[in-house]
Amino acid sequence: MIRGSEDLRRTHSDNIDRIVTHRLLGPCIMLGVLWLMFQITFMLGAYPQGWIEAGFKALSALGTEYLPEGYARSLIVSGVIDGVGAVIGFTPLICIMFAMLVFLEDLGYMARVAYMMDRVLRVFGLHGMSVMPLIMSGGIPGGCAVPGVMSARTLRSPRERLATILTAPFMVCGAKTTAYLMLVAAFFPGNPTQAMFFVVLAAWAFVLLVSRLLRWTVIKGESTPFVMEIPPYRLPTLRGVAFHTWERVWQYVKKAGTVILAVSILMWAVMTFPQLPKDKVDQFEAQRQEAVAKVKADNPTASEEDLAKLTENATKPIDDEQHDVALQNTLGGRIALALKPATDLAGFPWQANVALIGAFAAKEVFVSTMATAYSMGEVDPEESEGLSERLAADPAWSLPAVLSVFTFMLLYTPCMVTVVAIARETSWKWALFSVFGSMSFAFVASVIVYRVGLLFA
Amino acid sequence: MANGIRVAVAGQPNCGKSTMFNAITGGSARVGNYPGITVDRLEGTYRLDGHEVHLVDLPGTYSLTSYSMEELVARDVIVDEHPDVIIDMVDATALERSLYLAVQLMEIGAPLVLGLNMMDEVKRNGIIIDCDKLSKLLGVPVVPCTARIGKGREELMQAVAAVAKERGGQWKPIRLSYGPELDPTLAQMTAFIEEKQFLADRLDARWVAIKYLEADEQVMAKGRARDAATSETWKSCASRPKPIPASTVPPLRTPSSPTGATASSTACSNRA
Amino acid sequence: MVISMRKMAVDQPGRIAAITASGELGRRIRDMGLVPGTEIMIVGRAPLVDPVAVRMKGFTLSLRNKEADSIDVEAL
Repeated sequence: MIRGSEDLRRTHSDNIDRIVTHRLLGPCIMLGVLWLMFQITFMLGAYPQGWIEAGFKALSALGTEYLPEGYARSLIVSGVIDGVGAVIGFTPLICIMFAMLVFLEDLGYMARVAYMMDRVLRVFGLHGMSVMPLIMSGGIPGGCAVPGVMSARTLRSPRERLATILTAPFMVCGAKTTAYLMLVAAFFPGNPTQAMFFVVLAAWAFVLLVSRLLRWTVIKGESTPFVMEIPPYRLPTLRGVAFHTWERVWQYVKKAGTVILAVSILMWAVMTFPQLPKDKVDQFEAQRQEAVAKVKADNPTASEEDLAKLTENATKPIDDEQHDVALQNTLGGRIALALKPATDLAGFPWQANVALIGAFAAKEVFVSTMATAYSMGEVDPEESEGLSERLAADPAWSLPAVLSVFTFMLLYTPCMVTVVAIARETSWKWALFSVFGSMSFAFVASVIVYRVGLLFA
Repeated sequence: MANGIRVAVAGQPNCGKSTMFNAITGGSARVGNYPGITVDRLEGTYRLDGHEVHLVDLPGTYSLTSYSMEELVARDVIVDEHPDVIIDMVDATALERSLYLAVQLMEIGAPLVLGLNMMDEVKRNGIIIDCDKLSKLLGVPVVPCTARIGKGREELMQAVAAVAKERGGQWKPIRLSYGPELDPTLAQMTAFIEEKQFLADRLDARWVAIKYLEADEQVMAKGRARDAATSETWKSCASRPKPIPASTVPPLRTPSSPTGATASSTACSNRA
Repeated sequence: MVISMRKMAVDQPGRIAAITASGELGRRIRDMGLVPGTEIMIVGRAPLVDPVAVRMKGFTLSLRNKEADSIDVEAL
């Protein structure tokens, strides 16, 4: 019935695999592929990201120009446009990265990666097939834990699957990447790539360690059989890749369209209200008038221009102080200050508290919230040089504090949408465990990092 | 066939099943939900001679023994929903292994159409498959396909229509011999199950017996839920056959199965 | 000569003599077609020696060494 088939002949795929899964070349090729994906994503993605951000900036400018000053304008420009704009700007990168991952998966390469990684991942209680969900969640910076967690369905064992799902949010997802890029520009301007590299390394390390801990304690049990087919290499069809990529990207975009929009609005509100009472505002105004008068008095012979500049310099500290006081008066500010006693243990500057609270709902808003906290007004998150400089200038951000915030940001609770995804994939019990567990773990880790950092500082 | 024909598209992982499903259903594919489970239910339609055919794309599964949630869904849809016809997509480059699922489907009596996919690769490797002979041996229509370019789609659906007409949605389980050691016990258990009408409204009695012999957790759980006492009786029935070294089992002799060896060795070495 | 699959060398062909695995592992192994009488050939091992890739019945399967331990092969 079948003629010409000699089962035990090596196929082309097997021969290719001699190299692709070779003892030395295999891992090298794998790392090379990962690095290449990272480069392509950020290089190619920079273009559409730039266009989108330019578009939103223009929109922002239009809003500022045409909308009457007041809450509505502030809400729409600072809250909605800036907040959502950053997210939409990141979508092309997500598309590109997922397209490449899907291509590699349809090609059959991801099966080889699982095959090569299994020995290592197994030591930590995971499974070779955990690799895809972990990479998708941000094993290479970028990505998103929502489709990542959902893709863990391919893991046949409930235990390894659960461990993968619970640790995937530690990875450096796209949102965290934007936050880290801004922070790295502020505090490690000399070697940003190196800094990012260490962050990613730390993410993987934590994923593996926590997974091991979980599998020793809360998710005990034997590891599942690895018996897995290694499919022959098959060139993916364009339609197939497009369809599968769209599936994943859609999961991310849905979140962007809904949650982040809502959160941006919420954060705006929380950081605007309640406003400073009138008498305080008057006080500051009086201070400003005094300063202006003083400048005039001190410089009777100065030109219009010089006068304007001197005045600006004189009133700036007053403006900043007013902003800080106003912010501390808002709901967001009050919560941040209320948490201060605890966060002081970990050395967080209080503005970071506000940003981290907002980031719980969606980590994308970290940068825009920080910008607001540092009274950057209508500055867009991409031009974070301004923000980065301000952060660098703030003495509250000592090196131990920086490292502590970095640690916390990496490990603390998954964003709201991810929590929902985890609940759907497993159960609300595990989703809540994820929230409280990672929050405590992150806090303890940051405190340790901070205290140890202080010893060396 | 009255209004819709219900078709399930099954197959092992990596066989191009979903590609064929998309080729058949075109833009009509919709993603739905299985209640309480996070596996997506992919459904679509196809117009055939004025009939509307409803298709469900099942998750890939290597056999009707389920190891993951997805495989369980595949099995449950087949066993619980009793589709009118099942299309089993098969990777023609790994025919022998791929037919394992087909034989299992035949065993439980599903009206089957076999789609031999990746025929382009088969041809490229210089291999020739005699589809007619395969079809005669199995007693099931066999359609060569290359899902990647949509080839075989119409022929597949024509075969589906023919089978639907011929069987009228009837499932005719086949009795495969599991060797001299197990057959008597199986017969006993089957009779017992039929007598008690245990799970028999939906499932074939002999299949249930086999699952108990295999210590299939899901089927046993269903059984326990229905009637704990009876369930315990069969568990002890199942533990009666003595273990046998696989090498002494003669190759399976059935009227139509070329993959005899697979089925017999699986069943016999279950007791361990 | 019958040896455990774990001990086979790359490119070595063999025929499966017995499966000693039980429970879920046993079923999985058999479901994939690894049954006595099947001809196989080792086509590779992962960089860290574990898992092993086996060619059989027209496709390639991978399994961990611990799992391969439960498969006895007659070297050809």
